[in-house]
Amino acid sequence: MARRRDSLRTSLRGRLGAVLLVIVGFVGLSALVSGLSIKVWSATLDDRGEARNAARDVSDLKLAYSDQETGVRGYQIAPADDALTPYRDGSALARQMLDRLHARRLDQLDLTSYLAAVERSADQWRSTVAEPTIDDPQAAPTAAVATARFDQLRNDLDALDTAVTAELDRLLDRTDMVRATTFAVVIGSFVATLFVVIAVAMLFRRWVLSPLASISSSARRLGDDDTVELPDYGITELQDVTDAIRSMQASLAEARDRAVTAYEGLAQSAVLALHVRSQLSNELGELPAGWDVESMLEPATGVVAGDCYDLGLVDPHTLYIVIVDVTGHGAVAALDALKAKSQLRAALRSRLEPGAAIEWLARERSGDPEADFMTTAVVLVDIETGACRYASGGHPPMLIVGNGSPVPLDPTGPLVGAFTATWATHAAQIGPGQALVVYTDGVTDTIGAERERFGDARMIDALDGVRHGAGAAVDALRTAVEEFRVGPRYDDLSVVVLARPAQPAVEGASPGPIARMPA
Amino acid sequence: MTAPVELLTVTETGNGWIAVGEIDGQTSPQLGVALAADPAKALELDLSGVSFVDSSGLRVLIEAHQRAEQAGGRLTLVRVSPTVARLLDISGVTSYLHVDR
Repeated sequence: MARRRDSLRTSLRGRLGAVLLVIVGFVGLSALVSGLSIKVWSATLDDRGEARNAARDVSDLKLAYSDQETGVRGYQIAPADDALTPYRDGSALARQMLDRLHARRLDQLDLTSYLAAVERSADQWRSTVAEPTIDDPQAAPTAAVATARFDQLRNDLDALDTAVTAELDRLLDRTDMVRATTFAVVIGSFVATLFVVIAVAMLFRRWVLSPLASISSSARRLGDDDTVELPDYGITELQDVTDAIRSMQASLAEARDRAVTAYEGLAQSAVLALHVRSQLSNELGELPAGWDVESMLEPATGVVAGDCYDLGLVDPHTLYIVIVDVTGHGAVAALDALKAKSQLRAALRSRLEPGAAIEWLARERSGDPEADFMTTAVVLVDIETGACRYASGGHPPMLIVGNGSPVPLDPTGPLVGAFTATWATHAAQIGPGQALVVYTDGVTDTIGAERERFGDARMIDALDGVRHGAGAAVDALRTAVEEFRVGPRYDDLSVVVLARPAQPAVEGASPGPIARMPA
Repeated sequence: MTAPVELLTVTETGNGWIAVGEIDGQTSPQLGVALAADPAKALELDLSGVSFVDSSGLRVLIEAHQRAEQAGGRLTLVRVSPTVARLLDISGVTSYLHVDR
């Protein structure tokens, strides 16, 4: 997909700012045009009102002069003062109307010349007809003269009336036109504003909503397919969102790749772990008559155990037990433990004594940079007499339990891998009905409430069940540890219990008291 | 919310450190970081306040001892509590480390 050049990209703020300016300008222009139209309409209405008033004044003026003429003629027929009332009232009204008309301001009509003609004709009629008649009815001008003078006045009044009426008609027409124009402008502005709002909404949808919907849809699709290609946008802010999602997409892809790699590694490790686990269990075939053995290996939570033990026959009369506890857990530690176990077993089958076997192991491991510290215990048991020869490299003391107080078998040298050292072989005795217990510190170090440790005392109490066989002892110990434990299992738990039958399997073998003795 | 319990505190002194608490798989890296400083000096680690040490903690002590020996320094474990002393004995390393009870 072609990427937009950054130079072609504009910000949403800029676009919306420009749209806002256009809207404000348009609305302002519409308001201005509408306002002007309304103002013109209002002025036209004022002009029309002025013209209507002028028309009414002209009408009253004509009536006033007509009353004057009627009064003069009546006075000529019956010269009484009352007969002049129409003349006097008409004169006053005429004067009032003329003043009003002089004050009128019509849009396109100058009343001055029309009023001057009327006033001129009126003065002439008054001076040549009305006043002489009032002064002396007998000396009044002839009817023909009087009529001619008043007709002149009437003609001027008609001219004035015609002009005012024409102006009024013109203003009426103009008012209708301005009103229609004003309505058109207002409605047009409203419609145009509506279109602008719709246009803005469409632009907003095109610039913001649609891209956001597209981004949202793409982001949702990322849940199913993290290779989804996100589109580019011409708007800076949206592009920023897209870039942020792309960055997150890249991180997710990287995390996915790492997870896939880890998963594949885990799958391989799981296969390896199953293989290792199968190798970690003892390889003893059929136990010698009467001997009973049980074991358990519980790895630390979530990892492959770093503990390893083995139990088997070196020869038809000698049984060996090997236990290894490599510092650390996981597949590497398990393989290390497995390797150490195999080396110890090979050493024992080469007839090395337990101490010598550990020394040989230590030498072998000294050249291995991957080798970690480890504790180990190696025991050889004469299955006919129960006599033991053992060595321990810093391993938690093995115990001989049953028929009295437990006897610990202390280390005969340091843990393996830390120091150049030697490991002695010591001797002990498993009497009839007794059991040898070999374990790792994961048992005694198990954490309970208030961070209390399981400890030796609880382990020894649990092992009291050895009277009922090795299996009962291991079950009791497992139950006791699990009931005590609070939180995850931080270390591997390994226990091997080898119980000697209560009756000697070999005639003449003396169980005797349990005792540690030098090899 | 309850504050997490401080399982181990390691405090510097003029000539080493005082450790108080438990040294196990959870806390031993913290002690390892502290002991990694100045391996060429003769320093003391006061363990009188340590109630528990497991194989992970023992490993940290041994590695610190080895670094000091290689660098010409000396790490002495002083005022070792009975619990720690028993672990050192069981592990057979008492005679290999510098321990002043």
